[in-house]
Amino acid sequence: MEFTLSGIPIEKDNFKWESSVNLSFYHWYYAKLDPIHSSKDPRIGKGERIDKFFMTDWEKDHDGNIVHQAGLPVKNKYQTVMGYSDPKYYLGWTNKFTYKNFDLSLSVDGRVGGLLYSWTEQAMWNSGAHPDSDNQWRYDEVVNGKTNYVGKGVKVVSGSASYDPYGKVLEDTREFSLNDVPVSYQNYTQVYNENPWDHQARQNIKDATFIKLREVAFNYTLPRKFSEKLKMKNVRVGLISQNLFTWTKEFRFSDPDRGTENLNTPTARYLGFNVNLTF
Amino acid sequence: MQAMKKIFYFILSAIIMTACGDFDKINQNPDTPQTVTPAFLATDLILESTSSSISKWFLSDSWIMKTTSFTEHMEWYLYNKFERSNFGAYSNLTNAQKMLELADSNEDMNESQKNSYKGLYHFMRAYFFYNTTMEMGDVPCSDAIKGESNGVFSPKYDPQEDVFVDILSELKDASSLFEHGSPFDGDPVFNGNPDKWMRTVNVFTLRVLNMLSKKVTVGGMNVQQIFEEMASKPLIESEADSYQRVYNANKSSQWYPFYYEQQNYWSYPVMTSFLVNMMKDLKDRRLFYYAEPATRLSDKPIDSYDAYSGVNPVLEYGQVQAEYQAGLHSSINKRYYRVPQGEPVKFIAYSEAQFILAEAALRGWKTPLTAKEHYENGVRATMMFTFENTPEEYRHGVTIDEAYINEYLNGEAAFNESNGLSQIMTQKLIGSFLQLKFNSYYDYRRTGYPVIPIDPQTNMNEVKTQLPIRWMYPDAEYSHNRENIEEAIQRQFGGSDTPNGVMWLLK
Repeated sequence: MEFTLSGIPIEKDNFKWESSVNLSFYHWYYAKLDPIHSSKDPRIGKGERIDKFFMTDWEKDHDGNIVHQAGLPVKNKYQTVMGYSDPKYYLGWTNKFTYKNFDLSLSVDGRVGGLLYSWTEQAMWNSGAHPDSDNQWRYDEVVNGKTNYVGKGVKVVSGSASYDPYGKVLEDTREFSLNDVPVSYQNYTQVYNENPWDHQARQNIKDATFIKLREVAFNYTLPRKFSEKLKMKNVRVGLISQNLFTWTKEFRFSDPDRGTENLNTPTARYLGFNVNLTF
Repeated sequence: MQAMKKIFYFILSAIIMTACGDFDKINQNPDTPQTVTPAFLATDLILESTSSSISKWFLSDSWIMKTTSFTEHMEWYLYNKFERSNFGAYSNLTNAQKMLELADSNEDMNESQKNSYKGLYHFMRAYFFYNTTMEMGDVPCSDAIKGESNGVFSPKYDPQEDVFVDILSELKDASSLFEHGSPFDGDPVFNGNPDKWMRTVNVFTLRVLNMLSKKVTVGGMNVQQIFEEMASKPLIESEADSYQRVYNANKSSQWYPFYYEQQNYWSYPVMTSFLVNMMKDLKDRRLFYYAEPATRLSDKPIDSYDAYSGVNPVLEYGQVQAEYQAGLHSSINKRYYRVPQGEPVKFIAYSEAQFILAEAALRGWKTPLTAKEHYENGVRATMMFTFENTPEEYRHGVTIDEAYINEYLNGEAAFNESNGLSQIMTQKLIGSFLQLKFNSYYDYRRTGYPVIPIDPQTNMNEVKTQLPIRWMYPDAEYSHNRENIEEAIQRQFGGSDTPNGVMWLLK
């Protein structure tokens, strides 16, 4: 489904403002599954969205706290659907303002929703390059030789839980208390942000929402009499820029615009000069 | 003009057709084979069954057995966390099937050579089914490898007992086929020698039966009886005749797996106190061949036991790294990463057979020699193997010779029946350092020996007082073979697939 609304909100004297808004909704659903070779996971079936985001979550207690053992966070043995990877919708808004011989184009677009795993976040944590890792525990470990990091969450003091392969609880007799086992901060961080080939951790799966000031162009068309003197039909000069500004909801260190995030190189911001001559 | 054009085109097409008549021949690459022979598939199977990982994973079973630790970052096996295995080994069985078909249908091959390929087929099935069932429990067996022939894409899981019945039956066939076989092509280990193969198959059968020794019968057959029969058959005669991969310094594709020019992990392994102290207590000179002196102990002579130290493997991981970085402990011997040919990596060994026979004798089963004699044979073989495969400059000035081994076997390592099982398992562990991968773990799982240190505070296994006893089934089975795997998990573990589920073998 796609909606476009365009028009000229203001037109008077020497000023004109043209604008266009675009919203597109695009989702894929399974229409038919092969009876022999398709997956038989109960969460995949006719009519289900194909972009369900399957991941291995941290084991949690009934209040959503992460379960720890030996001071380190524990992973589930089954996969959970965390959300969807496709965005809820894309949006775009283009504008053109004209005043006498000047014109200004402004274009904004972005996506709202959808999950994306960030390899950059994981790599920064695992290698110790993440700015947030510059904290008291790291200082204590490196400078003072202490291993005193206590993970935020709970530990199981008695009982156990068993699940079917799809996450349904079969039996749960676990009793919890606050996690109090100190471990090395570096080790905790590296376990919490494990190699993505083995585990894509929940906290690094981010909402990919972003909005970009995609293009700003400011041009001036030379008046007729001047361009004719230069023996040309039309002369237009101006400044043009792309990717001037990006706002991201959860991505801090890389641009989700590319659709995947695997240690992406930064996207470029262009600033340029435009000369347009018609003979 | 038109006529000229017609004639011209006619002549042109005639020339083109004759000039390009040899497309088939031109498109053949003279350097590659045009057909597959059983020998090619035999090579592939034999290499797969004797391959080791060229990375830190080469050491992974020593992490479980707590004989080494690894200081790059935490590895799950170091703290007893098992995750999932997979059915990757089964792709070898497809090749085995093709090898059998090609050999069978080959009119130029004589019956006895066909027997060798058939024997290899059965052995490989037994070998890969064994590895897979030991890891996970019930696995597809009778329904396996039937995708092309019978359209079975969702094989049912056989109960583990039935899988072992099949394994023993395949091994029996393999042994008799090799007995009536002639040399075959494509074998990089024994050069196609069917007698060596038969002996290897027989020793592997002893291993399987030994692992089943808790059971009185398997599929109606008496375990002790089959074992005693097999023990009197021809077995591997020396350590050099073991089923092993020998590496070659002159070919980079045949370098020892941990050789430093092909991986970046060589600086991370560290010896543990579990193994180092065990060897110090026995005055076992192999310590000088397995380890390097600790940096901080460099004031001690390199041929003194006091220069070596191992890290406590159950410490909190940050401590392990810190102690190693402070130079307090020994790394593994440099020969494991500085010598391109390393040492041969064994998969089914003479020494292993001797220790199995020693254990059986202890149980009161009939064996060729006494428990003590088999035990001593095993120790001698592993000691000489280590000595012979260590270049002199890596021995730290310590020698291993017959005089020393006799001293050793009359000293702390002297065989004592009342402590026999523990001693056999200890010698088996020491002798299979970076050898016979996962065999020590399966022995430990079965016997509880040697007693691996466990600290409930740092143990990541859900059952904090023990090591895990199996790997979980692969994820893909839950989505593609749902009905059958759910049945298998229900039948074995009450519906919950975890690393602490008790398989039939261990009941």
